[in-house]
Amino acid sequence: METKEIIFKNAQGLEARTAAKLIQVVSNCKSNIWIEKEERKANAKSLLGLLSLTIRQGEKIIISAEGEDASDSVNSLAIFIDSL
Amino acid sequence: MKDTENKYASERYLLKGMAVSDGVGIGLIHIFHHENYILNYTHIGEAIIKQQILKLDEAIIKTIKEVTTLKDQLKNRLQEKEKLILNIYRNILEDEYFIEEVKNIIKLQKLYAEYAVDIGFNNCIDMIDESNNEYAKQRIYDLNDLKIRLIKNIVGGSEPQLDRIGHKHIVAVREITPTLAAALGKKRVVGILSNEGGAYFSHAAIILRGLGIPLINDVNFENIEKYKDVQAIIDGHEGMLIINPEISEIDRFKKVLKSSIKNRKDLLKTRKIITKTRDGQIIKIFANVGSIEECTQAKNKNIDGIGLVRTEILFAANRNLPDEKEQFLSYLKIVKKMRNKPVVFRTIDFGGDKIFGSASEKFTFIDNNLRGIKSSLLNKEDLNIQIRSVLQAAQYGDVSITFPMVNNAEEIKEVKLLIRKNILEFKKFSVNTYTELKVGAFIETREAIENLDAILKEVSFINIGTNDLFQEIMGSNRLNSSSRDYEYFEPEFLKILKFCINRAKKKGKNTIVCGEMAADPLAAVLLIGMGAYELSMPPTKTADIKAVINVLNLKQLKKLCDRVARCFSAIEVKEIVSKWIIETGRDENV
Repeated sequence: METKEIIFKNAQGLEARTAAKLIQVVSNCKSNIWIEKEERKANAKSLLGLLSLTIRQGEKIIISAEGEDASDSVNSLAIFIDSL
Repeated sequence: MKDTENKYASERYLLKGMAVSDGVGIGLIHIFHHENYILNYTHIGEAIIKQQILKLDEAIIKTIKEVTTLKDQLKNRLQEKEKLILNIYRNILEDEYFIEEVKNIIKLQKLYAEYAVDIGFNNCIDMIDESNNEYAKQRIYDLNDLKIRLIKNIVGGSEPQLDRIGHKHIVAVREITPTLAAALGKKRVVGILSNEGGAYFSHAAIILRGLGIPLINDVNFENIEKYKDVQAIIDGHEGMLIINPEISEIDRFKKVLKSSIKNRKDLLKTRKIITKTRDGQIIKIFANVGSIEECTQAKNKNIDGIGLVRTEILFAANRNLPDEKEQFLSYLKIVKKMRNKPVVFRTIDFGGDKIFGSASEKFTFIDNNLRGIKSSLLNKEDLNIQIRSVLQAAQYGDVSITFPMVNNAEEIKEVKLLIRKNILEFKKFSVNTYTELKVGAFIETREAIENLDAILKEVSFINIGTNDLFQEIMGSNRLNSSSRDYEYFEPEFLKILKFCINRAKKKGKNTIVCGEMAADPLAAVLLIGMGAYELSMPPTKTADIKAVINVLNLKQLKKLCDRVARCFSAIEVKEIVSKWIIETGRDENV
């Protein structure tokens, strides 16, 4: 299991349109990927899961992945989130 | 109360609500009732579980079809941003993890499909509701809308009864939802009054603003019900409804209506040509891109160039940093696509988040002091490859290179030396005359601001990355939660931006603002007022920003910036700017 902790920087928070783009980014990953905020954990490939997290600017999130491309998946998702 | 039906039908009555979508119109009030569905809460037998799951699948397909049809029918009247909202409905319906969850509720809890859908959506809605995130809470209306649509398609209900509604009606609803907004938009109604669901940032409001249909929110539904079929004037600027208006009022509003239609047509025309304020200042609208697809999307929006190519995103799917040839070909694609319009490449931020195998082996820790150009200079081999690739692509168009997280002039001098060395090398082996590359710097650290004058001496332009700069300057100074969405309006931060823009201008250098602020109409207005005439943003945001700029008057805008400079809080700034914009928009129409 690969994990990485990052701070969500985008001023609008993880809104629906951004979440939809995020899903496109992870859809090619073979691993199972999750995003965790506080005690909640959502599947990063599920739009409703992501929306339920209500992530906003400055909040700490943990990305984790399990599977053959876990390390790459975590890294590319972290880069994507950072670029928002 | 002695109110009689007769009185409602004839007495002038003024009603105020929240002004959400602009425009005026005269029409008859039509009361729209949502259909209520009664859910079946009883448990089901093992035998019909399969049948319920099938029912769910069919309903999902049907709902996707409905939403897609609605989007197609409004295709020519909606812009990308508004279409995206309806796309999100589709994305939710295609969320296999969520659908699986609902199916599990049917299977394990032995419940009817419609009740399972209700539970599944409510789980998410409750979670969002528990958060203190007001912005996210606007999405609850969308989820409710979708939930009801899906339930309707499971239990076999009919489409909402819109047959009797037409272009003469002002429609009053208890709750406005995005799909209802789109459906009423299709009917070209005069305006909409909603009790809830239509806050400024709701998706319903965004769609209606896109369609140019006035919307007033916070209108008490019980109160308005009494005025069924009565004539009224809706004024979306003021959030005002005049029921049974006087003849003089009707005449006046008819005049306003005429000029607003003309203005809307003008607005559509200006989408294609150069963007300038009403007093003639040209504003360059650039796009931030991370892929060739985004580049195509940007080009279709008639933008002035690419203000930021995020090269790390371009190669995010690669295991290693691509070699010189591969990088060159990727850059060339973008340069060729943009023909002779400017393209700015930003080198990879090696120290930020580890990206490629090659880079991450060298940096086993993430240190904020070792980010951007500083880490690139420690990793010169990779930096050199990137410089060489950009340099070659630059021979095919108007190309610049810029560096992230610049701290001082020495760093720029060092990369310039690298560039010059490579040019000399290329010249040795080629007959081409290699042109110098324009060099820029991302101003997003405290140190950069302290060294701004020296940096400006070395570069052709600066970029301001408002997101990182904000984190750096104000990061520790977080405000209460309600203002978080607009925190970049913080007066202290605005002063720093103004300082940067002014210093650059004094030295005859351009400033391209690339962060979140450039894409937010309210913030973009301030940036322009402060003298930043080049803004770079995601391609999806360009149309909105262009539309705003077209109604601006730079002289008035400068006065606004002076006023804002005297504010004490981000909220105060935001309020003044939004009020100013609404007033400016209104002046346009009269």
